[in-house]
Amino acid sequence: MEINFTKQRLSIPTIWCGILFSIAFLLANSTNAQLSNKFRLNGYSSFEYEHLISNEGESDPNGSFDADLIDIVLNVDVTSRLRFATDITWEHGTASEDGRGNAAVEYAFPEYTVRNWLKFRVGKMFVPFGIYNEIHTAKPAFLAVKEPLSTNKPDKFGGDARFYPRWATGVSVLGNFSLNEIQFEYNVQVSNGEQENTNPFEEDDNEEKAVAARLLIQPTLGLKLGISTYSDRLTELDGLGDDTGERTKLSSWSTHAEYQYKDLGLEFEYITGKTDPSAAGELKKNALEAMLYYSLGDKFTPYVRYEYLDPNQDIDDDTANMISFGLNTEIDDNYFLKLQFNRISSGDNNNEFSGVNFSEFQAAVVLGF
Amino acid sequence: MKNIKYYISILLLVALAWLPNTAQAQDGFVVIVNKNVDETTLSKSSIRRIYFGFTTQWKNFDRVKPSYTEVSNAAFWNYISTEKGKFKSFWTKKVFSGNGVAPDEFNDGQGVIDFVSSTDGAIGIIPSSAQNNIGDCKIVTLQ
Repeated sequence: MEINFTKQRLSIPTIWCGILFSIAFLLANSTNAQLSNKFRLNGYSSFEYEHLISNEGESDPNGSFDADLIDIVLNVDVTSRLRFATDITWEHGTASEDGRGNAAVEYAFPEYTVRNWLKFRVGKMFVPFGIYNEIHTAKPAFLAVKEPLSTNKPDKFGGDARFYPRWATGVSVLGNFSLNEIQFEYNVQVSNGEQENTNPFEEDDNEEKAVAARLLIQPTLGLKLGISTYSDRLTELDGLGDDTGERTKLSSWSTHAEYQYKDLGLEFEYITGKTDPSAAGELKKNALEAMLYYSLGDKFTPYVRYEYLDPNQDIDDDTANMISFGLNTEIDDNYFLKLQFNRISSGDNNNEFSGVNFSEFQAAVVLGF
Repeated sequence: MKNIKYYISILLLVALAWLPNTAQAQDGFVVIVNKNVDETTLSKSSIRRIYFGFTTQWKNFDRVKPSYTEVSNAAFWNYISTEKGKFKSFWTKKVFSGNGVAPDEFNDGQGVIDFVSSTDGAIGIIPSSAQNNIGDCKIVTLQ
Protein backbone atom coordinates (compact mmCIF):
# COMPACT_ATOMS: atom_id res chain seq x y z
CA MET A 1 0.00 0.00 0.00
CA GLU A 2 1.37 3.42 -0.91
CA ILE A 3 0.78 6.37 1.31
CA ASN A 4 0.83 9.70 -0.44
CA PHE A 5 1.32 12.81 1.67
CA THR A 6 0.70 16.01 -0.23
CA LYS A 7 2.29 19.35 0.63
CA GLN A 8 -1.12 20.80 1.36
CA ARG A 9 -1.81 18.25 4.06
CA LEU A 10 1.56 18.71 5.77
CA SER A 11 1.06 22.38 6.55
CA ILE A 12 3.44 24.31 8.80
CA PRO A 13 1.02 24.37 11.75
CA THR A 14 0.61 20.62 11.44
CA ILE A 15 4.36 20.06 11.43
CA TRP A 16 4.80 22.33 14.44
CA CYS A 17 2.01 20.49 16.25
CA GLY A 18 3.81 17.24 15.57
CA ILE A 19 7.13 18.55 16.85
CA LEU A 20 5.65 20.08 19.99
CA PHE A 21 3.55 17.04 20.89
CA SER A 22 6.56 14.81 20.29
CA ILE A 23 8.55 16.93 22.74
CA ALA A 24 5.68 16.81 25.24
CA PHE A 25 5.52 13.02 24.86
CA LEU A 26 9.26 12.69 25.36
CA LEU A 27 9.12 14.90 28.44
CA ALA A 28 6.23 12.97 29.92
CA ASN A 29 8.00 9.68 29.40
CA SER A 30 11.51 10.79 30.11
CA THR A 31 13.27 8.94 32.90
CA ASN A 32 16.29 11.19 32.56
CA ALA A 33 15.79 14.18 34.84
CA GLN A 34 18.64 16.15 33.26
CA LEU A 35 17.02 15.76 29.82
CA SER A 36 13.54 16.81 30.90
CA ASN A 37 15.00 19.77 32.81
CA LYS A 38 16.38 21.10 29.52
CA PHE A 39 12.91 21.58 27.97
CA ARG A 40 10.09 23.77 29.18
CA LEU A 41 6.70 23.93 27.52
CA ASN A 42 4.37 26.84 28.34
CA GLY A 43 1.57 28.55 26.51
CA TYR A 44 -1.56 30.62 26.63
CA SER A 45 -4.94 30.97 24.98
CA SER A 46 -7.50 33.71 24.66
CA PHE A 47 -11.21 33.69 23.84
CA GLU A 48 -12.85 37.07 23.33
CA TYR A 49 -16.22 38.73 22.89
CA GLU A 50 -16.95 42.26 21.67
CA HIS A 51 -20.25 44.11 21.26
CA LEU A 52 -21.08 47.66 20.21
CA ILE A 53 -23.43 49.19 22.76
CA SER A 54 -24.14 52.46 20.95
CA ASN A 55 -26.24 52.78 17.79
CA GLU A 56 -23.20 53.47 15.64
CA GLY A 57 -19.43 53.26 15.94
CA GLU A 58 -16.38 51.29 14.86
CA SER A 59 -17.10 48.20 16.91
CA ASP A 60 -18.89 44.88 16.45
CA PRO A 61 -22.67 45.42 16.20
CA ASN A 62 -23.37 41.66 16.09
CA GLY A 63 -21.58 40.74 19.31
CA SER A 64 -19.07 38.17 18.04
CA PHE A 65 -17.09 35.44 19.74
CA ASP A 66 -13.44 35.22 18.73
CA ALA A 67 -11.20 32.20 19.19
CA ASP A 68 -8.48 34.80 19.48
CA LEU A 69 -5.34 32.72 19.84
CA ILE A 70 -3.48 29.77 21.20
CA ASP A 71 0.26 30.06 21.63
CA ILE A 72 2.83 27.45 22.52
CA VAL A 73 6.02 28.73 24.16
CA LEU A 74 9.01 26.43 24.12
CA ASN A 75 12.33 26.97 25.91
CA VAL A 76 15.29 24.67 25.44
CA ASP A 77 18.47 24.96 27.49
CA VAL A 78 20.80 23.69 24.78
CA THR A 79 23.92 24.22 26.90
CA SER A 80 24.60 26.09 30.12
CA ARG A 81 25.20 29.25 28.07
CA LEU A 82 22.74 28.71 25.23
CA ARG A 83 18.94 28.94 25.43
CA PHE A 84 16.53 28.61 22.52
CA ALA A 85 13.13 30.27 22.84
CA THR A 86 10.16 30.25 20.49
CA ASP A 87 6.47 31.18 20.51
CA ILE A 88 4.23 29.68 17.84
CA THR A 89 0.74 31.10 17.48
CA TRP A 90 -2.51 29.99 15.90
CA GLU A 91 -4.92 32.90 15.72
CA HIS A 92 -8.67 33.11 15.13
CA GLY A 93 -9.30 29.38 14.85
CA THR A 94 -6.69 28.74 12.19
CA ALA A 95 -7.98 26.51 9.40
CA SER A 96 -5.44 26.79 6.60
CA GLU A 97 -7.45 24.66 4.16
CA ASP A 98 -10.15 27.34 4.22
CA GLY A 99 -7.73 30.25 4.38
CA ARG A 100 -9.05 31.21 7.82
CA GLY A 101 -7.08 32.58 10.73
CA ASN A 102 -3.35 32.88 10.93
CA ALA A 103 -0.39 30.78 12.04
CA ALA A 104 2.86 32.56 12.80
CA VAL A 105 6.17 32.49 14.58
CA GLU A 106 5.99 35.28 17.16
CA TYR A 107 9.64 34.84 18.00
CA ALA A 108 12.34 32.23 17.56
CA PHE A 109 15.89 32.91 18.66
CA PRO A 110 18.88 31.34 20.37
CA GLU A 111 20.20 33.42 23.27
CA TYR A 112 23.88 33.09 24.11
CA THR A 113 24.94 34.27 27.57
CA VAL A 114 28.49 35.56 27.96
CA ARG A 115 27.70 37.11 31.32
CA ASN A 116 24.45 38.22 32.92
CA TRP A 117 25.22 41.68 31.58
CA LEU A 118 26.04 40.50 28.05
CA LYS A 119 23.77 38.24 26.01
CA PHE A 120 23.22 37.89 22.28
CA ARG A 121 20.11 36.92 20.36
CA VAL A 122 19.73 36.32 16.64
CA GLY A 123 16.48 35.57 14.85
CA LYS A 124 12.93 36.85 14.78
CA MET A 125 12.10 38.79 17.95
CA PHE A 126 9.64 41.24 19.39
CA VAL A 127 10.86 44.81 19.11
CA PRO A 128 11.85 45.84 22.68
CA PHE A 129 9.73 48.97 23.04
CA GLY A 130 7.64 50.27 25.93
CA ILE A 131 5.55 48.22 28.33
CA TYR A 132 3.40 46.14 26.04
CA ASN A 133 5.00 45.15 22.76
CA GLU A 134 6.79 42.07 24.08
CA ILE A 135 3.61 40.81 25.79
CA HIS A 136 0.96 42.10 23.38
CA THR A 137 -0.18 38.59 22.41
CA ALA A 138 0.15 37.17 25.93
CA LYS A 139 -3.25 38.10 27.31
CA PRO A 140 -2.69 36.46 30.74
CA ALA A 141 0.26 38.83 31.20
CA PHE A 142 -1.86 42.00 31.49
CA LEU A 143 -5.12 43.04 33.11
CA ALA A 144 -7.16 44.55 30.27
CA VAL A 145 -8.81 42.65 27.39
CA LYS A 146 -6.41 44.11 24.84
CA GLU A 147 -3.19 46.09 24.87
CA PRO A 148 -3.67 49.88 24.56
CA LEU A 149 -4.54 50.87 20.99
CA SER A 150 -3.19 54.40 21.25
CA THR A 151 0.40 53.35 21.93
CA ASN A 152 0.43 49.91 20.30
CA LYS A 153 -2.03 50.03 17.39
CA PRO A 154 -2.40 53.73 16.53
CA ASP A 155 -3.35 52.74 12.96
CA LYS A 156 -6.59 51.39 14.47
CA PHE A 157 -7.08 54.57 16.50
CA GLY A 158 -6.95 57.09 13.68
CA GLY A 159 -3.21 57.15 13.01
CA ASP A 160 -1.58 56.53 9.64
CA ALA A 161 1.08 54.13 10.88
CA ARG A 162 2.51 52.58 14.00
CA PHE A 163 5.29 54.07 16.09
CA TYR A 164 7.34 50.90 15.61
CA PRO A 165 6.80 47.43 14.12
CA ARG A 166 5.77 44.50 16.30
CA TRP A 167 8.52 42.14 15.19
CA ALA A 168 12.00 42.34 13.71
CA THR A 169 14.61 39.96 12.38
CA GLY A 170 18.16 40.76 13.32
CA VAL A 171 20.59 40.78 16.22
CA SER A 172 20.03 41.85 19.82
CA VAL A 173 22.55 42.64 22.53
CA LEU A 174 21.02 42.68 25.98
CA GLY A 175 21.74 42.13 29.63
CA ASN A 176 21.21 43.30 33.16
CA PHE A 177 23.26 44.50 36.09
CA SER A 178 22.76 46.25 39.41
CA LEU A 179 24.50 49.25 40.91
CA ASN A 180 23.87 50.14 44.55
CA GLU A 181 20.77 47.90 44.58
CA ILE A 182 19.37 49.67 41.50
CA GLN A 183 18.52 47.18 38.78
CA PHE A 184 19.32 48.01 35.14
CA GLU A 185 18.22 46.09 32.02
CA TYR A 186 19.10 47.03 28.48
CA ASN A 187 18.32 45.70 25.02
CA VAL A 188 19.73 47.03 21.74
CA GLN A 189 18.37 45.48 18.57
CA VAL A 190 19.58 45.95 14.98
CA SER A 191 17.21 44.58 12.34
CA ASN A 192 15.90 44.76 8.78
CA GLY A 193 13.03 46.88 10.06
CA GLU A 194 9.57 46.87 8.51
CA GLN A 195 8.66 46.99 4.82
CA GLU A 196 5.86 45.92 2.52
CA ASN A 197 7.58 44.99 -0.75
CA THR A 198 9.68 42.13 0.63
CA ASN A 199 9.46 39.80 3.62
CA PRO A 200 11.35 41.74 6.32
CA PHE A 201 12.07 38.51 8.18
CA GLU A 202 13.97 37.22 5.16
CA GLU A 203 15.40 40.17 3.25
CA ASP A 204 16.02 43.88 3.78
CA ASP A 205 14.83 46.15 0.97
CA ASN A 206 17.46 48.80 1.70
CA GLU A 207 20.90 49.14 3.28
CA GLU A 208 19.75 51.15 6.27
CA LYS A 209 19.12 49.07 9.37
CA ALA A 210 16.46 49.69 11.96
CA VAL A 211 17.66 50.24 15.53
CA ALA A 212 15.56 49.70 18.63
CA ALA A 213 16.79 50.19 22.17
CA ARG A 214 15.25 50.08 25.60
CA LEU A 215 16.63 50.78 29.05
CA LEU A 216 14.74 49.68 32.17
CA ILE A 217 15.69 51.00 35.59
CA GLN A 218 14.29 49.66 38.85
CA PRO A 219 15.35 52.06 41.63
CA THR A 220 13.09 50.41 44.23
CA LEU A 221 11.27 47.09 44.33
CA GLY A 222 7.91 48.58 43.37
CA LEU A 223 9.01 51.08 40.76
CA LYS A 224 10.18 50.40 37.21
CA LEU A 225 11.10 53.17 34.77
CA GLY A 226 11.82 52.74 31.08
CA ILE A 227 12.85 54.62 27.98
CA SER A 228 12.69 53.20 24.46
CA THR A 229 13.57 54.35 20.98
CA TYR A 230 13.07 53.05 17.45
CA SER A 231 14.44 54.46 14.20
CA ASP A 232 14.46 53.27 10.60
CA ARG A 233 14.65 54.49 7.02
CA LEU A 234 11.70 53.25 5.00
CA THR A 235 12.09 52.65 1.28
CA GLU A 236 9.85 54.88 -0.85
CA LEU A 237 8.35 53.02 -3.80
CA ASP A 238 7.14 54.25 -7.17
CA GLY A 239 3.85 53.30 -8.78
CA LEU A 240 5.29 49.99 -9.97
CA GLY A 241 6.52 49.09 -6.52
CA ASP A 242 10.19 49.75 -7.30
CA ASP A 243 12.65 51.53 -5.01
CA THR A 244 12.86 55.25 -5.85
CA GLY A 245 16.08 55.61 -3.89
CA GLU A 246 14.36 58.03 -1.53
CA ARG A 247 13.76 57.26 2.14
CA THR A 248 11.19 58.18 4.77
CA LYS A 249 12.74 58.67 8.18
CA LEU A 250 10.86 57.08 11.04
CA SER A 251 11.75 57.71 14.65
CA SER A 252 9.90 57.18 17.92
CA TRP A 253 10.66 57.73 21.60
CA SER A 254 8.85 56.42 24.61
CA THR A 255 9.04 56.80 28.34
CA HIS A 256 7.11 54.67 30.77
CA ALA A 257 6.69 53.96 34.46
CA GLU A 258 5.18 51.09 36.40
CA TYR A 259 4.57 51.44 40.12
CA GLN A 260 3.17 49.03 42.66
CA TYR A 261 2.52 49.80 46.31
CA LYS A 262 0.91 46.89 48.16
CA ASP A 263 -2.34 46.21 46.24
CA LEU A 264 -2.33 49.45 44.31
CA GLY A 265 -0.75 49.73 40.88
CA LEU A 266 -0.12 52.45 38.34
CA GLU A 267 1.32 52.43 34.86
CA PHE A 268 1.98 55.23 32.41
CA GLU A 269 3.46 55.38 28.94
CA TYR A 270 4.02 58.33 26.61
CA ILE A 271 5.24 58.01 23.03
CA THR A 272 6.21 60.66 20.57
CA GLY A 273 7.16 59.93 17.01
CA LYS A 274 7.66 61.42 13.60
CA THR A 275 7.79 60.31 9.99
CA ASP A 276 9.68 62.44 7.53
CA PRO A 277 9.05 61.58 3.88
CA SER A 278 11.52 62.91 1.28
CA ALA A 279 8.91 64.85 -0.68
CA ALA A 280 6.49 65.96 2.01
CA GLY A 281 6.49 67.64 5.36
CA GLU A 282 7.34 66.03 8.62
CA LEU A 283 4.43 64.37 10.47
CA LYS A 284 4.59 64.44 14.26
CA LYS A 285 2.35 62.38 16.50
CA ASN A 286 2.10 61.43 20.14
CA ALA A 287 0.16 59.03 22.32
CA LEU A 288 -0.24 58.16 25.95
CA GLU A 289 -1.74 55.47 28.09
CA ALA A 290 -2.33 55.47 31.84
CA MET A 291 -3.85 52.82 34.07
CA LEU A 292 -4.77 52.56 37.74
CA TYR A 293 -5.67 49.23 39.35
CA TYR A 294 -6.27 47.75 42.77
CA SER A 295 -5.95 44.08 43.63
CA LEU A 296 -8.55 42.64 46.02
CA GLY A 297 -7.30 39.46 47.63
CA ASP A 298 -5.27 38.43 44.57
CA LYS A 299 -8.52 37.38 42.83
CA PHE A 300 -10.32 40.51 41.72
CA THR A 301 -8.56 43.44 40.15
CA PRO A 302 -10.69 46.38 39.04
CA TYR A 303 -8.94 48.84 36.75
CA VAL A 304 -9.46 52.04 34.85
CA ARG A 305 -7.41 52.94 31.79
CA TYR A 306 -7.16 56.09 29.69
CA GLU A 307 -5.72 56.27 26.17
CA TYR A 308 -5.06 59.27 23.96
CA LEU A 309 -3.67 59.68 20.46
CA ASP A 310 -2.89 62.76 18.41
CA PRO A 311 -2.10 61.22 15.00
CA ASN A 312 -0.91 64.49 13.43
CA GLN A 313 -0.01 67.52 15.48
CA ASP A 314 -0.55 69.82 12.47
CA ILE A 315 -4.20 68.81 12.02
CA ASP A 316 -6.86 70.04 14.40
CA ASP A 317 -9.65 67.90 15.73
CA ASP A 318 -8.14 64.55 14.74
CA THR A 319 -7.43 63.15 18.19
CA ALA A 320 -9.03 60.07 19.73
CA ASN A 321 -9.30 58.94 23.29
CA MET A 322 -10.71 55.98 25.15
CA ILE A 323 -11.54 55.41 28.77
CA SER A 324 -11.99 51.83 29.95
CA PHE A 325 -13.43 50.42 33.14
CA GLY A 326 -12.72 46.76 33.73
CA LEU A 327 -12.60 43.89 36.16
CA ASN A 328 -10.02 41.12 35.93
CA THR A 329 -10.96 37.99 37.92
CA GLU A 330 -8.60 35.07 38.43
CA ILE A 331 -11.05 32.15 38.41
CA ASP A 332 -8.41 29.49 38.83
CA ASP A 333 -4.63 29.40 38.72
CA ASN A 334 -3.64 31.56 35.70
CA TYR A 335 -7.21 31.35 34.33
CA PHE A 336 -8.81 34.79 34.03
CA LEU A 337 -12.16 36.34 33.18
CA LYS A 338 -11.93 39.93 31.95
CA LEU A 339 -14.94 42.23 31.64
CA GLN A 340 -14.45 45.69 30.20
CA PHE A 341 -16.50 48.72 29.17
CA ASN A 342 -14.94 51.19 26.72
CA ARG A 343 -16.03 54.71 25.81
CA ILE A 344 -14.36 56.04 22.67
CA SER A 345 -14.42 59.71 21.67
CA SER A 346 -12.78 61.39 18.70
CA GLY A 347 -12.54 64.55 16.66
CA ASP A 348 -14.28 64.94 13.31
CA ASN A 349 -10.96 64.65 11.45
CA ASN A 350 -9.96 61.38 13.03
CA ASN A 351 -9.39 58.82 10.24
CA GLU A 352 -10.82 55.86 12.11
CA PHE A 353 -13.77 57.18 14.09
CA SER A 354 -14.65 60.45 12.29
CA GLY A 355 -16.03 62.11 15.38
CA VAL A 356 -18.53 59.34 16.15
CA ASN A 357 -18.47 58.73 19.89
CA PHE A 358 -19.52 55.28 21.00
CA SER A 359 -19.40 52.64 23.72
CA GLU A 360 -18.55 48.95 23.55
CA PHE A 361 -18.42 45.94 25.81
CA GLN A 362 -15.52 43.50 25.71
CA ALA A 363 -14.95 40.25 27.54
CA ALA A 364 -12.24 37.63 27.47
CA VAL A 365 -11.43 34.31 29.04
CA VAL A 366 -7.67 33.71 29.01
CA LEU A 367 -5.48 30.92 30.23
CA GLY A 368 -1.76 30.74 30.85
CA PHE A 369 0.12 27.55 31.62
CA MET B 1 38.88 23.79 90.00
CA LYS B 2 39.51 20.88 87.68
CA ASN B 3 35.86 19.87 88.03
CA ILE B 4 34.65 23.39 87.24
CA LYS B 5 36.68 23.45 83.99
CA TYR B 6 35.29 20.04 83.12
CA TYR B 7 31.67 21.15 83.64
CA ILE B 8 32.21 24.40 81.76
CA SER B 9 33.67 22.48 78.83
CA ILE B 10 30.69 20.14 78.81
CA LEU B 11 28.28 23.07 78.98
CA LEU B 12 30.06 24.84 76.11
CA LEU B 13 29.93 21.72 73.94
CA VAL B 14 26.22 21.27 74.64
CA ALA B 15 25.57 24.94 73.94
CA LEU B 16 27.45 24.77 70.63
CA ALA B 17 25.52 21.68 69.58
CA TRP B 18 22.19 23.40 70.30
CA LEU B 19 23.04 26.80 68.83
CA PRO B 20 20.52 27.54 66.07
CA ASN B 21 22.21 27.74 62.67
CA THR B 22 21.07 31.26 61.99
CA ALA B 23 23.45 31.75 59.09
CA GLN B 24 21.97 28.86 57.13
CA ALA B 25 18.30 28.91 58.06
CA GLN B 26 16.30 32.08 57.59
CA ASP B 27 12.79 32.41 58.98
CA GLY B 28 11.88 28.78 58.44
CA PHE B 29 13.52 27.99 55.14
CA VAL B 30 16.90 26.83 53.93
CA VAL B 31 18.63 27.44 50.60
CA ILE B 32 20.28 24.41 49.01
CA VAL B 33 22.31 24.04 45.82
CA ASN B 34 23.52 21.21 43.63
CA LYS B 35 26.84 19.74 44.75
CA ASN B 36 28.58 21.13 41.64
CA VAL B 37 27.72 24.75 42.46
CA ASP B 38 30.81 26.53 43.82
CA GLU B 39 28.97 29.28 45.71
CA THR B 40 28.70 28.61 49.43
CA THR B 41 27.43 32.04 50.52
CA LEU B 42 24.70 34.20 48.97
CA SER B 43 23.32 37.58 49.92
CA LYS B 44 19.65 38.48 50.07
CA SER B 45 19.95 40.54 46.90
CA SER B 46 21.72 37.63 45.15
CA ILE B 47 18.85 35.31 46.04
CA ARG B 48 16.38 37.88 44.82
CA ARG B 49 18.23 38.36 41.53
CA ILE B 50 18.29 34.59 41.01
CA TYR B 51 14.57 34.08 41.69
CA PHE B 52 13.61 37.03 39.50
CA GLY B 53 15.69 35.69 36.63
CA PHE B 54 18.33 38.42 36.49
CA THR B 55 21.19 36.15 37.50
CA THR B 56 21.22 33.19 35.14
CA GLN B 57 24.83 32.03 35.55
CA TRP B 58 26.91 30.75 38.43
CA LYS B 59 30.60 31.59 38.72
CA ASN B 60 31.44 28.32 36.96
CA PHE B 61 29.06 29.38 34.12
CA ASP B 62 26.52 26.64 34.85
CA ARG B 63 22.99 27.86 34.22
CA VAL B 64 21.16 28.79 37.42
CA LYS B 65 18.03 26.63 37.81
CA PRO B 66 15.93 27.98 40.69
CA SER B 67 13.20 25.97 42.42
CA TYR B 68 10.96 26.30 45.46
CA THR B 69 8.10 24.64 47.26
CA GLU B 70 4.72 25.94 48.29
CA VAL B 71 5.43 24.88 51.87
CA SER B 72 8.17 27.45 52.35
CA ASN B 73 6.46 30.22 50.44
CA ALA B 74 5.31 32.68 53.10
CA ALA B 75 8.73 33.03 54.69
CA PHE B 76 10.45 33.02 51.34
CA TRP B 77 8.27 35.73 49.77
CA ASN B 78 9.00 37.91 52.79
CA TYR B 79 12.70 37.28 52.41
CA ILE B 80 12.79 38.37 48.77
CA SER B 81 10.33 41.20 49.46
CA THR B 82 7.48 40.10 47.24
CA GLU B 83 4.18 38.19 47.31
CA LYS B 84 3.18 35.06 45.47
CA GLY B 85 0.71 36.89 43.21
CA LYS B 86 3.28 39.48 42.17
CA PHE B 87 5.92 36.80 41.70
CA LYS B 88 3.60 34.82 39.41
CA SER B 89 2.59 37.91 37.47
CA PHE B 90 6.24 38.90 37.00
CA TRP B 91 7.12 35.46 35.60
CA THR B 92 4.04 35.29 33.35
CA LYS B 93 5.33 38.38 31.55
CA LYS B 94 8.92 37.19 31.51
CA VAL B 95 8.19 33.70 30.15
CA PHE B 96 5.67 34.69 27.48
CA SER B 97 7.86 37.51 26.20
CA GLY B 98 10.71 35.05 25.68
CA ASN B 99 12.84 36.59 28.39
CA GLY B 100 13.39 33.61 30.66
CA VAL B 101 12.33 30.32 32.20
CA ALA B 102 10.35 30.43 35.44
CA PRO B 103 11.61 28.69 38.60
CA ASP B 104 10.32 25.16 39.12
CA GLU B 105 7.65 24.81 41.79
CA PHE B 106 7.29 21.53 43.70
CA ASN B 107 4.63 20.24 46.06
CA ASP B 108 7.02 19.65 48.95
CA GLY B 109 10.60 19.98 50.11
CA GLN B 110 11.51 16.49 48.95
CA GLY B 111 10.56 17.42 45.38
CA VAL B 112 12.94 20.38 45.57
CA ILE B 113 15.70 18.23 47.06
CA ASP B 114 15.32 15.61 44.31
CA PHE B 115 15.41 18.31 41.64
CA VAL B 116 18.43 20.13 43.09
CA SER B 117 20.27 16.88 43.65
CA SER B 118 19.81 15.71 40.05
CA THR B 119 20.18 19.02 38.18
CA ASP B 120 23.44 20.83 37.48
CA GLY B 121 23.23 24.46 38.56
CA ALA B 122 20.04 23.95 40.58
CA ILE B 123 19.19 25.97 43.68
CA GLY B 124 16.19 25.32 45.89
CA ILE B 125 14.22 26.69 48.80
CA ILE B 126 13.11 24.06 51.31
CA PRO B 127 11.48 24.22 54.75
CA SER B 128 13.99 24.18 57.61
CA SER B 129 12.44 20.93 58.80
CA ALA B 130 13.68 19.20 55.64
CA GLN B 131 17.32 20.22 55.97
CA ASN B 132 18.46 17.00 57.64
CA ASN B 133 17.57 14.95 54.59
CA ILE B 134 19.16 16.82 51.68
CA GLY B 135 21.28 13.97 50.31
CA ASP B 136 24.30 15.30 48.41
CA CYS B 137 22.95 18.85 48.11
CA LYS B 138 24.80 21.66 49.85
CA ILE B 139 23.30 24.21 52.22
CA VAL B 140 24.12 27.80 51.32
CA THR B 141 25.01 30.28 54.03
CA LEU B 142 22.88 33.41 53.82
CA GLN B 143 24.59 36.75 54.43
